[in-house]
Amino acid sequence: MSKLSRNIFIETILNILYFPLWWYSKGLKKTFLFVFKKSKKLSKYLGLKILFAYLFKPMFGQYDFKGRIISFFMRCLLLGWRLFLFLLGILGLLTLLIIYIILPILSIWQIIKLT
Amino acid sequence: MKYIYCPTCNGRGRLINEKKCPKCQGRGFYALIGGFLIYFEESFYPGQKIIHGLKKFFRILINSALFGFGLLGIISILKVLLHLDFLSHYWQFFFLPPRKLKLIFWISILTDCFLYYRLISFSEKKKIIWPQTKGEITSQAIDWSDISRLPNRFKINVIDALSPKAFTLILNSWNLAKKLKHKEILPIHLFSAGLNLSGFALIINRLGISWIKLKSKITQALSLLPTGEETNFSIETKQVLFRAYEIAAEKKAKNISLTEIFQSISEQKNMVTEILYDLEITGTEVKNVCVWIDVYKKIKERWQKFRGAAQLRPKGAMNKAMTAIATPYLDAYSQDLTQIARGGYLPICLDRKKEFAEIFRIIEGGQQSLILVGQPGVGKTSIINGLAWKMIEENVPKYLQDKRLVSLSVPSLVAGASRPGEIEERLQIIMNEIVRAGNIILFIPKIHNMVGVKTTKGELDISEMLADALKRKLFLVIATTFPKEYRENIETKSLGQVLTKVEIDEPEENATIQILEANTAYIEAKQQVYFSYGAIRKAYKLSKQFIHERFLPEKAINLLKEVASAVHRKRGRRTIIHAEDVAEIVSEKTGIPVTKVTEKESEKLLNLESRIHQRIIDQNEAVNMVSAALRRARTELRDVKRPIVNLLFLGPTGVGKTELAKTVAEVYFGNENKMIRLDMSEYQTKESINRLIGTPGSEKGGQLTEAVRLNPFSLVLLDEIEKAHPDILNLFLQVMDDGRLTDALGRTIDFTNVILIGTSNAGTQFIQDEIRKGTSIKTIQDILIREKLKPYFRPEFLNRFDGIIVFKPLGKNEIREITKLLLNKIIKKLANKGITLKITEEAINELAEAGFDPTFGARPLRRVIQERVNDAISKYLLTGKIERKDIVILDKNGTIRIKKGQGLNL
Repeated sequence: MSKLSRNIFIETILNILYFPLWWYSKGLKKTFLFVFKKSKKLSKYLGLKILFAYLFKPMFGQYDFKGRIISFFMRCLLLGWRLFLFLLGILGLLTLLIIYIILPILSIWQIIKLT
Repeated sequence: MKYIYCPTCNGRGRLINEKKCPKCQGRGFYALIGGFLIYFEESFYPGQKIIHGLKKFFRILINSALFGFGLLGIISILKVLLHLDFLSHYWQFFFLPPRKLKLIFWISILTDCFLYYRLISFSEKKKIIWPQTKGEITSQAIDWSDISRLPNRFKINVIDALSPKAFTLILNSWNLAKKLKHKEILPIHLFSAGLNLSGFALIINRLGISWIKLKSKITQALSLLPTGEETNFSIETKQVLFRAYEIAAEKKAKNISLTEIFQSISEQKNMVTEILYDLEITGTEVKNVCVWIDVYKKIKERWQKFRGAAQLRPKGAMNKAMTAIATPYLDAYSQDLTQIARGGYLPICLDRKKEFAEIFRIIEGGQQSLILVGQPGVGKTSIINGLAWKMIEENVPKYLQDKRLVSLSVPSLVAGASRPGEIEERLQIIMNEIVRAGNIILFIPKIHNMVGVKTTKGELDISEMLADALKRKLFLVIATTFPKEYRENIETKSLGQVLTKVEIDEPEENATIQILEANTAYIEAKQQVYFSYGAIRKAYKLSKQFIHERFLPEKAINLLKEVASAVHRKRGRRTIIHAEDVAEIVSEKTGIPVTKVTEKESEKLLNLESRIHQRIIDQNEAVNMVSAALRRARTELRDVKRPIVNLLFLGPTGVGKTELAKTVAEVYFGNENKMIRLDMSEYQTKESINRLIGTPGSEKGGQLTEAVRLNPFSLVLLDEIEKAHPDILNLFLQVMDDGRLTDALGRTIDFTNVILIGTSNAGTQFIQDEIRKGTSIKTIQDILIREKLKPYFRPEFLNRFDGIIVFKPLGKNEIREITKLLLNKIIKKLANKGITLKITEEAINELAEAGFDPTFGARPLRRVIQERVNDAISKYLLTGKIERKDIVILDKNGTIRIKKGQGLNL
């Protein structure tokens, strides 16, 4: 039993020591990749690439002059709106990344300040 | 895989005194896999299972404490920020000053980070890095002396790659061996310990093994093992684990699971494989079951991935680029397959890589429309469904991306059109819509139905309208049709010029079995039964061999459905379907015995000669040969690519040739009417070939081919075969050799389930003369084949027969026996009417004498009996002289005496 408790104790200590190292190496990489993947998926979901590529192509098969003009402005509007949504998403994700980076430092600073 | 053994302990890891080998530290040996050295090192101790559990418990305890503290931190900060003073009433802790509560909050943030790290890094630990080709050590340069010099990153402990369940298995096997005081832990310990784990149980159930038999065999085997004080892992067990590692690495699995260990055990020669062999399971079967389990996993993974992709696809007719237009007219006559797939309602399409590659090559090459040509049931629709899946996953050439796959229904296009030109108008509007929308790939199933459809005289039909649009490459069509319809209606018409042909064949064996395995999931869920691997395999094998005119994989899937519902009805829910259940249904459907030979039946087969002799008198050689052929067929030792047996019966008329053929039909096919009888004297001219296999250009099949097509399991009797035209004999040469014949309509007729018997009177005079001289049948047979049959048959034709059987002319004794047989039939018939018929010996002799004719054999006998017995008795019956319970005695000179039966005195 003593062997077991020693085992668990050592394991926990090693765990605590490794924690800061992991947080700013493997953990950071993981979080960064998460943010990157999510923003890629968001861009795909909003169809940004396709909207850019078809900016001058009339919508709904309206190939006449009026149709082209309306389509272009409509697409610009749509693109603007979706870009806004995309930026919002990116901003959120970036905030997440920043929080991840500063959280341990911030809490340690606060703890020192408060004690 | 190469093993490198420790020279000191020869791989055992222990010295003779059971101490750990100092040279290898007890590792014993290494396996070289993909440039890495794999070893087994784990010391188990009593109570380890409990300690493992405790460790897990403490881990959860610490995590829960961290979580609780995190929660406390959040409540603390909420109290400070929102002034939730009431909290202090519930817990005095919250009386702490705000500064302290804030401190607790910030500490809890840190512990939250720590908890996050613990959870994530623990799940990371489970991921194994399999050996890859990069940074390898080469296998040639390795022997024992090199190992110590190699850096540790090239050495992997197989224990680290085990899944938690697999580790439990190893631990349990150690406990089991320890409990039984066995010296070594062998693969059988692994196997026995695995029986309680669901991963093993699943495989055993899929293999259809009887648990009772298996468990008793294992207990028996375990009791035979030597005992000792120390318990160590044997070299065999370690090799099993190394091989499991290799299998998992090849699959790029997450870790070594129970499936890989089971497969690995079954691949090596050990006690377990011996036991499995006794239960009719081989390593290949285990491997296939493991593949089956992987197929299920793969389907699940692909489904999850597919659901993710489906979310990215817009709902409705619009494409992502918003260039398309709505197609209301087309929608009324069609189904949007991509939308159905998006909703998750299309079944998965497995394999078919070759076909998809060809389809994509054609589309990428020149945006050419194409037509899938294949027999019904080979999976054309399934490929189209697969295409819809791939379009959702965007796993298609660029041209097909962001497009809709729309299935046009020709019947609804044509239905209800009454005005002249209405159908043409409908199609024109649809085509205009497709062109304008620009995001539609049109799928037309059974496109041959479009050929010839028109409402106005002299104008083009709708298929030609479509062909014209396709010629201008206005849009892309994928169509399907059957080979015959393609040849007749499409190839030579305008559609044939614009549609590139893609042939779809039946999938090969392994692919079919995988398709069946994937399909069983639906059937199992519906009928609440489970298929064993043997059942799936049998369904494939038997449907291929016995179900004609339909095609794989559909016919096998239908067979499985039928079996599942039959077994559900017979044995209820939660039963396992075995290979025998499938065989039983096929036997019922075809009348052919394909189930395992039961004891009763094997006795029947062994005594086949005496059974046949109940109908045939003498002719021992003929009866023996036929019996042997039937036994070969029933025990599946025959060549399945030829007819069951080809026999030539030679001999004078009336000696029992036809009678023997009838008996064979009754014994093997269950009914003497299962016989296709052709009188070859009717086929003496070359032109008569058309009557046999059909006339080219006509819809009617030939007399032989049509009969065999409709009754593939029958006896084909060719009477007087020597009279047929030589060209017709050549036709049979192919039948006897390949077991198939192509009729005038181009259909291949299967002859592999027929018994082919030709009869001939050729050489009769010679046989009679030689028999009279007392020459042996064997000699007569030899001379016949070498000389006497030459004018009638070519040597290669005679060679195709499995047996040429000479029937002896009948002597007086045989005729007497036959007389008895025929009279017995009358006795039975009268017994049904309640009348007893007795025939005196003199009467029998008299009848035999009158019926005997050296030239015609037993043929006149039938007539004699008919005249003298049947006719006489029928007269008595009609005049009412004979009644129920009477005894009729037939005496010599045809006299009939009647003994009145005793009625009840009422």
